[in-house]
Amino acid sequence: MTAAIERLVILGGGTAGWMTAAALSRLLPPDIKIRLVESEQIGTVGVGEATIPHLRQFNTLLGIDENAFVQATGATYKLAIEFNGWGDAGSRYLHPFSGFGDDLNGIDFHHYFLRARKHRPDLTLDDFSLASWAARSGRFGPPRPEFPTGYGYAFHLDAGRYARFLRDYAEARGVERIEGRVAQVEQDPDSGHIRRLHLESGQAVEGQLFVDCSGFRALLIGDTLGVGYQSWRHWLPCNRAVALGSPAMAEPPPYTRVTASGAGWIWRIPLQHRTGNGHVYSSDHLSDEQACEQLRIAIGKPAITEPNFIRFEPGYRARSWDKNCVAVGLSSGFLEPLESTSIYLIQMAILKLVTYFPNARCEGPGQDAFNRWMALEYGRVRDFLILHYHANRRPEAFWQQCREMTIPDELARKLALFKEAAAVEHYEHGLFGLPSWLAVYLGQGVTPDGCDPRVAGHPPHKVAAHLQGMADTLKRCAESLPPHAEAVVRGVTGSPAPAELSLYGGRYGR
Amino acid sequence: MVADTALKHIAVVGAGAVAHAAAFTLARALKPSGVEVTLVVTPAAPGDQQQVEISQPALHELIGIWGLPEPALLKACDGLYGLGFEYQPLGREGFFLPFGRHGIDPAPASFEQGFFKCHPGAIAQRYSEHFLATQAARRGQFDFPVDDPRSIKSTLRYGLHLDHSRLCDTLADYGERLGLRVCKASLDDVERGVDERIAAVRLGNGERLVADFYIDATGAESRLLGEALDVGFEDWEHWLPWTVQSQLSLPPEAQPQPRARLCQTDFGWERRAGLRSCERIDALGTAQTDWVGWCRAYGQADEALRALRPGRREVFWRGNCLALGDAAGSATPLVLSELHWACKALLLWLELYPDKRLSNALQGEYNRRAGAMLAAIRDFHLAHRLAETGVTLEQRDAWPASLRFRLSLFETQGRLWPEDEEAVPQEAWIILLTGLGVQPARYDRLLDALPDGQLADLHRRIQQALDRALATMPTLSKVLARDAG
Ligand SMILES: Cc1cc2nc3c(=O)[nH]c(=O)nc-3n(C[C@H](O)[C@H](O)[C@H](O)COP(=O)(O)OP(=O)(O)OC[C@H]3O[C@@H](n4cnc5c(N)ncnc54)[C@H](O)[C@@H]3O)c2cc1C
Repeated sequence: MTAAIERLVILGGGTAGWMTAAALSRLLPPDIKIRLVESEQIGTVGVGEATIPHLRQFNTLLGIDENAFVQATGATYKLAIEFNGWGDAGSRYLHPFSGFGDDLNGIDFHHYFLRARKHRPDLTLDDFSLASWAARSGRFGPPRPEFPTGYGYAFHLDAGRYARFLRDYAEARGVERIEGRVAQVEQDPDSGHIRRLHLESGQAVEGQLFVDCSGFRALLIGDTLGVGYQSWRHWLPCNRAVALGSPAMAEPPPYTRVTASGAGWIWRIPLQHRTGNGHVYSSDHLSDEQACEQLRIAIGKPAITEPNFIRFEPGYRARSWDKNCVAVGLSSGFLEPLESTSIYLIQMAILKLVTYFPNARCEGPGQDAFNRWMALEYGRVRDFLILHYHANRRPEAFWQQCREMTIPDELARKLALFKEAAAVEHYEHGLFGLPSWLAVYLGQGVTPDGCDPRVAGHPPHKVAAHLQGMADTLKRCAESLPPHAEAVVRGVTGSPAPAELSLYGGRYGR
Repeated sequence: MVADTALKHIAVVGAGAVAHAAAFTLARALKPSGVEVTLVVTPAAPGDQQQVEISQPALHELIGIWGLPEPALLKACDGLYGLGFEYQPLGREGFFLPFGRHGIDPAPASFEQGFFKCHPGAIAQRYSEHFLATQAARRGQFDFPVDDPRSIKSTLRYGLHLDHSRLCDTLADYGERLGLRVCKASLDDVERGVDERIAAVRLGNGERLVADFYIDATGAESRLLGEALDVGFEDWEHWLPWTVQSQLSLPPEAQPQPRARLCQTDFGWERRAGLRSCERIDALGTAQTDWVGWCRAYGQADEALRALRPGRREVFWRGNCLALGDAAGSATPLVLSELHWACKALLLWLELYPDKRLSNALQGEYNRRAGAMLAAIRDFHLAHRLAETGVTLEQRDAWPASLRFRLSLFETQGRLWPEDEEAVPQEAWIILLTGLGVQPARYDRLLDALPDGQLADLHRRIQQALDRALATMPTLSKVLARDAG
């Protein structure tokens, strides 16, 4: 048997670095020495504040108390993402963390919805999501057993405070933090494995396994090991962002808002103590000044921070684990935050690293399994993001180009399936199940030719009447929840809702 | 009311359980939509007579659609309840592969890891002992699962042992009462229309049957999809060498037993499963197997042999024709039966259900997912060849990449790669692989942090909980008697 790993080094103290440190200090045997190198001089990317419900599973795994976490990170709750101006300038829809309606007679709900709309074109999918009703009415509470459906929830959090919170957690569990800037990386001359990080201070940090959380710099996986980066810019045209903070909202809504702009989109993330805003755009269509100016206009209030300009290239590294180096976070790839997936991808990389944790040789089937898994995760999120850009009827040159671009085969196949037969391609692993695809298809005007023939036999007005009853029930349930602002202050009480690796909550049965 | 574009008439063609189950399911599920179903029962081949179905728990999904009371169905089919398979590989200790899951949360590592650590020589046996089903089956006891996650009985799942020909008769009977048209006739000819569609089937009774959609359940011959529509075949015989099946009937065991048995032989595998009135034995081997000798060993004259054809059609659904079971492909019936695969595929088809436009995209999605289902069954069956002493590493190198990767990851890391489509729960893979001698090279190191004796304590507590549940669990005979009463 090859020797076990005893010394692990994490490079980087952003969200990725501290999530990794915290999780490994909990999930690996205590005899493994974990050290984290970060440089205050370089700093972190400073954004990344909207999450999806999977983060609750991460908290549970680490034994983190949810209310304490919400207070420490200035968090608010999140039930959905609101999409404004996607599809066409007037479209507005939610992508909630829940399924839609109840399946009837073993046939998916959305076929009944499509049928009912022949009679009631005013019905929207949101009418059939409890999470959507709660989001729209500014209410929040964890799902209750008496509700007809479950739902998931996530958080908006302050990235800086989150890293600090995890740092305290990790340090309390024995992780050693080393402040300093890496000047040089020493490799084994034969195997090319990384041996030591030499800091500017002259200190050398030796390890057997290195986790590269150095952000876009990708100091180890990219600069040192030369693992290639595959760009997806031909499908995801945005490559810049500017972020600005504004004052906290009096009534922070329990959802993230993303509004399409002429050459990208603008986010709004409500926190307890401030509001995060940003503009993601394509440098081919917009200058940094224009982008920042548009963002200021969209905020409509004076900013409370200086603009933070960020450049990126959408894409990923097919081998995010190479030799004795595992890339986690921005060093492994970047998919824009439209669906708040980056922190989730960090979480999955950590979980898979633990599952396939290597011995001192570091290479083998476990490494392949890790790389395959991350490729699957990145690929599935990618296609879902491309759909948001592709399915539009907006007039601007940027959007026209998105509409006309060649999309990946896998996505083309999914779109054809929905248009021809109102069916959503099924896969078990990775992100985005039927409700999510449905929300975006229908929200952005991808309309199928018909619906399931077994439902097409029912008169639309009868189906609509039945569905109206469903919507009324969901609305009543949502109205029984407390106002979101109150929930944020008081915290969530009662036995915690199940924290599964699911977007839609424990009781979405698919 | 029926939409104009909806299918109005579906014809199912075949002789066996797949055809009957499909026709009955469709008649039931599509009755509210006004679909008419015709079942053409073609003459059974001699080797098909004595087949026994050892169903997986998944069959309940279908029985749910059938709406038939299970005890009555079981009685009509001479059936028993089953909790899993007792394995007896050659030259190795036997083990039990239970249906269901253990239901034990990671503490701190996932449950099987503790056996990798503490019982490296007997993982399958010791791990499997911690399933209620294993222990119940060993004692001839049986009970139904309960819905309460706090009860250890919530981990139970069960299958059924059913006599095929009685199952066919029962479904045809019930079906006719439901409006299913059953027509016994040979299939003389399949007329091909335009666009790779079937125009009609001509039957031995002179009838020319026209339907909107055809289900081909004609077995390996694949008369509609394979022959008439010319869909190619990919052979898997180099992976799954069992191409001949033979079967015998013996007197029943003294007491009915809620398990099937799978014994490795020098030519392949022998399966035994009890029914109420007899015990059925069948064997999977090759053309070289001494079948006469095999029958004589049981004091019986030789029976008709059944040919198996491992492999798959290039597509399973084309135009207005869907092939089910062996007509679509076969991974041999070693553990997961033809009916099991056909049922899963049929449920998928019903989920995607087409109208007369027969969307290509829908066919594509069906073929993609059903293909993954069959590949998953194939991999699980193929893994049984690890029991053969003669399987060399070079041979293994020619196995499908999906299985090779699964094996290498399990051997080196003790982890199972999760596919989008899985044939059996992870637990079953762990028991099969370790039972056939695959040793994970490591276990989860988190276990090293546990105080001495903690794992043994956990295992003892589980054992005590199992003992308590077993103390009040009835025998299978009692359950059957209660069913009757
Ligand atoms: C515009 C934008 C919006 C985003 N929004 C979201 C969102 O809403 N939701 C979401 O989930 N994700 C979002 N993300 C992604 C998210 O911000 C990142 O995934 C997350 O912050 C993790 O970053 P990181 O830790 O990998 O990198 P960073 O935060 O960049 O950290 C890098 C670390 O490496 C250290 N380092 C680098 N070089 C050296 C060196 N030479 N020596 C020593 N230390 C060094 C730095 O000091 C720093 O500590 C967004 C990203 C962008 C660009």
